[in-house]
Amino acid sequence: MPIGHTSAQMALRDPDIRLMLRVRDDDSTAFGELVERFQHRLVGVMHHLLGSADEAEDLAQEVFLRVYRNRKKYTPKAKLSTWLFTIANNLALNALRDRKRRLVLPLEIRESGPLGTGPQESTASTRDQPPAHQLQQQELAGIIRKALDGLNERQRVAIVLNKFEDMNYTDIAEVMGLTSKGVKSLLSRARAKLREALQGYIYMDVEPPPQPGEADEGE
Amino acid sequence: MRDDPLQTPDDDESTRIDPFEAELIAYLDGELEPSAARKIEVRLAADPEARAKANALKKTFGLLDYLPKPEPSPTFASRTLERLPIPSPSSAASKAQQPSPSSPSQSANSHTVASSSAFPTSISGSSVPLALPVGNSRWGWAAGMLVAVSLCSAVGYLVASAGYQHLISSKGTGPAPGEDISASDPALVERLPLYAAVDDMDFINELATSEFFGDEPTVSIESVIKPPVLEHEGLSATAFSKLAAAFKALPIERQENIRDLDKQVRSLDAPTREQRIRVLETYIRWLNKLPESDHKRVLMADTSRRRLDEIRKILNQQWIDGLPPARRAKLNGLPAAGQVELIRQWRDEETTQRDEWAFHRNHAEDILANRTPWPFDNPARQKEVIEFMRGAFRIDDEKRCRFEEPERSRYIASLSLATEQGGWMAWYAYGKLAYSMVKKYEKYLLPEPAVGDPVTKYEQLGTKAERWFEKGKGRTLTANLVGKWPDFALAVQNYAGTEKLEKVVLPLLGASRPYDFKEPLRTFVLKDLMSVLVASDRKTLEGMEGRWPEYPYALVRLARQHDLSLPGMMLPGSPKRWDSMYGFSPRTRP
Repeated sequence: MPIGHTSAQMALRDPDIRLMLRVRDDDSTAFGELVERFQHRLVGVMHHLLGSADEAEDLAQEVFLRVYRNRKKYTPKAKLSTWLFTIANNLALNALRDRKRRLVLPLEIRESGPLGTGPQESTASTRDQPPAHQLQQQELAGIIRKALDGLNERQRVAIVLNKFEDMNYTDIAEVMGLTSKGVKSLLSRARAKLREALQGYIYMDVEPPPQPGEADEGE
Repeated sequence: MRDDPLQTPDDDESTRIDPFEAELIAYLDGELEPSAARKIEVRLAADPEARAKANALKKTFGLLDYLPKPEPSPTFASRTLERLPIPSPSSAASKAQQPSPSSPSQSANSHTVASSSAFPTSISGSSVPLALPVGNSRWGWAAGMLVAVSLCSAVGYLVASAGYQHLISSKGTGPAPGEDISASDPALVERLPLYAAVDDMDFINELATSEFFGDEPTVSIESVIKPPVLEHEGLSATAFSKLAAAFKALPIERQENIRDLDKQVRSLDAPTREQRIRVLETYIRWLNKLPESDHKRVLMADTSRRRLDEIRKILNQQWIDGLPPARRAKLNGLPAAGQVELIRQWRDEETTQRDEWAFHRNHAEDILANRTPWPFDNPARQKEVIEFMRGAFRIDDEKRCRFEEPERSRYIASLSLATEQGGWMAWYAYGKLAYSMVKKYEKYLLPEPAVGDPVTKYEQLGTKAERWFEKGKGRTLTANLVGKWPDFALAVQNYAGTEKLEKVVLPLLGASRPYDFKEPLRTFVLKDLMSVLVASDRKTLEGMEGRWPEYPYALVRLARQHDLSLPGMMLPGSPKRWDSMYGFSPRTRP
């Protein structure tokens, strides 16, 4: 084993690994802490991949449950997040491929209430905003969503990890089971496609994008 | 490990990759070796197109920040923790419990695996499952039976049975306490699953209300097509003996309690009994699917009332959890009071819709036969309704029509469709539209006086009153309503009321005595309505004469009470029937 890479040493470096080792050893509060620590990132990534908040939570939950079920087998090798996202990657790819085979519903089910109160609802949520600004943001989000959905599953995973988890090519390679070179090709194709799809909208972003934690408006 | 995604079958070959762009992207990500990075920098400095491309790449990548960033729901963490297999109290039991790798597609609702993993699967020995807190009588009250139920799929048996008659035997008075019921009353054993988690008859009756399981489709939909009654197979021998053993293991009081309950259920009239049985089946299935902690909480409640409270809480939470993401997002954005209100509104809408479906189901035959719904099935009545709408809302007069666009066009289109096409759907849609329009504009359906012009202008108010409407609030509230009946008069009356002007200043603004009305309303009020009113109502009405618009509104109220329709003011035909056919209002909450 390379120097400095025993479990103990890795645990010293990485607080996440320390936490996971406690989960492995059945520390009663550790798993809860793990969930709290990673839920935002996992749900976020899943949401970006799948476009559905419900599915995102279901899958994120599955990731955690798998982690728990396999806790006894855990040995720290690299960053904990890499391991987590490897599991997440597998589950997400399966879900995305399953979706293709099933009847596909629109990814964001545009809400219309039981009595067809759709239009009223969306305007109600935007009542307090200048309409033009609100529409622009929603429109933009929709366009970007479509662009993202235009990528194939692996391109999507690569880009989401690249952008939202700020992963370098090596980490992405580890999560996705590719070589760095492979990741480079995958990403270049994905981002080129993204550029083509979104080039016309670059100048729509007059307002800064919403910060995490702001309430979602009727998405 | 796949090396080059360019080779993968799921990758599209349509976009040929530009090697410079690929390098550029890696450069922007800081992933290039220093020498390669320098080459890119040189190119960027020299080539404006390259710079533009780099900018486009950067910006489009940055646009991803505009994707929504939903927070995990507040219950995410707790729900995740609840799905873990339960750590067992005794080491003996823990050996029997390996965390079983379940399939990734296990949804949050399939907890039969999780909950029964708490109980070892062999009951050959003692009848008390090992993992249970020992000596907890509350737990023992229900769990033993529920175990037997879930293991034997006894509920499934009940669900699969075509009818319930064979379950309800009226023979015999039941065995004596302590007697082996498996021999003396086998039918009771078969019904045991129903009572596994039930306190008493009141409890069952509560569960049968719409607040709990009364509105569930499995309860409220009576099968239109009755399945053929199969040769009654009954429970398997194992299931039967397990249930009987579980029953015997219960404390004597509980056994008595169940026998009593069974007697009461059996003595219900057939439709109620069948509904109650459906309720209980639904309840048990629901109970078995709950996450362990919820399941426990329901069973461990020490009174019937508390048990119902727990059930209600869980049902409410499930309802909220079941909301589509957009609705949940909306809810989360509100403060607590607003949330409660919104939930109430949505639940009312749901109830309304369910009532509609029930209605349509009940009229299924008529719908299938494409009959014309009441009141349009009678040509004379049909005409009356259309005439009423035309007159009351001035449909033909584009300028003075009560309906604004697009309401007016909608109305006209609906009527055309009904008269041209006929049949249930078209007429029902028209009826609904007419009903809702009348409801919406109820307060404007005030009759014009028999003598003189209706009050629609300032000059008609008399000099004393005119002063108050020359300027200020009086003016602004009424100016744009001039010429409109009864809008102008209502606004005047309203304003005068707030300023307490009436007695001093205003003339009578509208018809408020029987003799003020035109025919046929006049005769209808004097004869048809008066003859059905009780003395006290008649007196009240007489006391309101001269007050406008209170008098005509009171007429409508009283007419409705006695299921009469005032000509020119209400839809022709029985108001009650209109309400039941076309009006689905939210049920009144207790």
